[in-house]
Amino acid sequence: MSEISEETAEYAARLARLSLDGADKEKIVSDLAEFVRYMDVLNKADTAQIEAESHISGLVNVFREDVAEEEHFDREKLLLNAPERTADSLIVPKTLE
Amino acid sequence: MSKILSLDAFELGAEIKKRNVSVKEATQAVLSAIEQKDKDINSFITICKQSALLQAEEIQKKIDGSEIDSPLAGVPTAIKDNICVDGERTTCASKMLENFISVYDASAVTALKSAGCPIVGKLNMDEFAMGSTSETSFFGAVKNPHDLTKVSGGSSGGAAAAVAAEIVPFTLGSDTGGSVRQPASFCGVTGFKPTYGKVSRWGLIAYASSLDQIGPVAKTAYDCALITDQISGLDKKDSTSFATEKVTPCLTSNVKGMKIALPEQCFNNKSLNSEVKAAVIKTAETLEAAGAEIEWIKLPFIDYVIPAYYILAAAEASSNLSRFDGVKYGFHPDDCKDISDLYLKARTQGFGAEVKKRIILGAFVLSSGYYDAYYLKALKAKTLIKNKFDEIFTSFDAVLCPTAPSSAPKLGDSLSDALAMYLSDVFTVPVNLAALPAVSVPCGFDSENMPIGAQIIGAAKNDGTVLNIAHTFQQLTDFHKRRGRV
Repeated sequence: MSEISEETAEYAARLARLSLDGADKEKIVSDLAEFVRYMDVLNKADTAQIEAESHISGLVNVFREDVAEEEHFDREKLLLNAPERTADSLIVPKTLE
Repeated sequence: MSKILSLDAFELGAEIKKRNVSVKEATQAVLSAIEQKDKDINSFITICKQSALLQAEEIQKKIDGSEIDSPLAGVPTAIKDNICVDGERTTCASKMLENFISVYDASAVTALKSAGCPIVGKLNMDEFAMGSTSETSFFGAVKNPHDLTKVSGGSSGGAAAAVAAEIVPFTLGSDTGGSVRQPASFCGVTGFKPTYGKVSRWGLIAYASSLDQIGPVAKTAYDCALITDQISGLDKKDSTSFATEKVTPCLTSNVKGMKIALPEQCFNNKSLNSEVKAAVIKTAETLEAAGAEIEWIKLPFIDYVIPAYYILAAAEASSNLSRFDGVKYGFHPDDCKDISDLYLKARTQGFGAEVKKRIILGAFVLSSGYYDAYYLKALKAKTLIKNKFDEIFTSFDAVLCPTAPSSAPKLGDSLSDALAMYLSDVFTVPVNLAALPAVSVPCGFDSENMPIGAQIIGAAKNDGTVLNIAHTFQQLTDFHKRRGRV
């Protein structure tokens, strides 16, 4: 496995729509580097015969009829949390020039 | 008032049923306790005074009209601030959601409301439940009621501290890697993490969806069983939930013939404090004297649990927290050039350092070139851990080990050494990785008079067994009755 450099950390931050510029930068990068070095211990785990499972609780798919269920959310109640809004919609910055 | 607050949830419910205490008196006692004690402890983010008193009146009418018959009817509660309560703020202790008002109730909250529990407030925690000390909160750290210079544990620090300080009889927390059990251990109260899927996650703001589980914090294992029975069961709003049997009838105070395993790797762990070790061994001896059979076993995977847990939790967090973009709700920055700039500034300025670190770690382990080495390897390690637990539970009823390697550290110590804080989760995270039920019970005090917790882990869906062992232990000891000094 590898080290996480400042460059790699910045790349991962960009993927997550975060900027690393700021007071936290040095601490975040050094903590990440330390943890990624530590993760190497996982290499010792013998997983050659093991399948990767995203869920291990033995759940199986449960299907239901494809019928929409009504949820009554009041539009105004939802919009109360909007940072910028018109009477009945959200406002976002222009996405096309 | 002090009488009301010294009762556990079951006792208070019984007093209310006998009309010795009114729901309003109980609710007012809790609200006054918040006012008097919480400025030191900081376990609450939001106090729902008006709505709690209104609920109290309505609940009293229902009790008088015999419309509700829950043992918890009238018993006030408070909810960790990552669980939605309709019409109240749900902040996740983050600047990102500082002013967010929930538009619906979490299913567990709906269940408590229908049981007749007035909700008095929302509890402080680590930001987005990421942390083991409740120091990463945007609203300031939670202090330990046993010593205000020490941490409460985390991430459900407010949920544990509020019960330990006798502010409220019980609370709901959430447990992704030990976040109910470890603060319960640090604060000297009982905290239960049910089997994954036993309690619906609908309305719990997601951190790592495959590991997150809502669980109760209370003064006794019996209370935890009553609360679990109220909030558990199949919920069509959470496809991972399942129909469950009641756990309270399993609390027989009898452990005769039960086989309890002690993992050598936990007790020989170099991070384990000697006083904690001695207290948990003593716990095993108490259970042995009550008729349980104790046997040492090996837990060979212990070195892998921390990397596997943090890789998987961070990966899921980086996906789950992508919804916070400053558009529909949440922190909104000024002066955005365009939509990308809005996303970047909202997230960079809205999230705290620990949250950003885990999101970036998650994006890293999922990124091209690293996915197989980290994420896939961690998934396989998880299966390895689950298989070993399956094997153990073919011949044992439960596993007993410490909840945490030490008692509560000093405030500030963990923030300066992040890796050490992660490593302190070594005994709790395997339970989430393997989707098992586990409870932390107070089992002693160290030389500084700080509480020590023992963890009892059971096979999936054997929640009743785990709680019965904890309940039996509490019939034989009084560690759970010693409250915080504040």
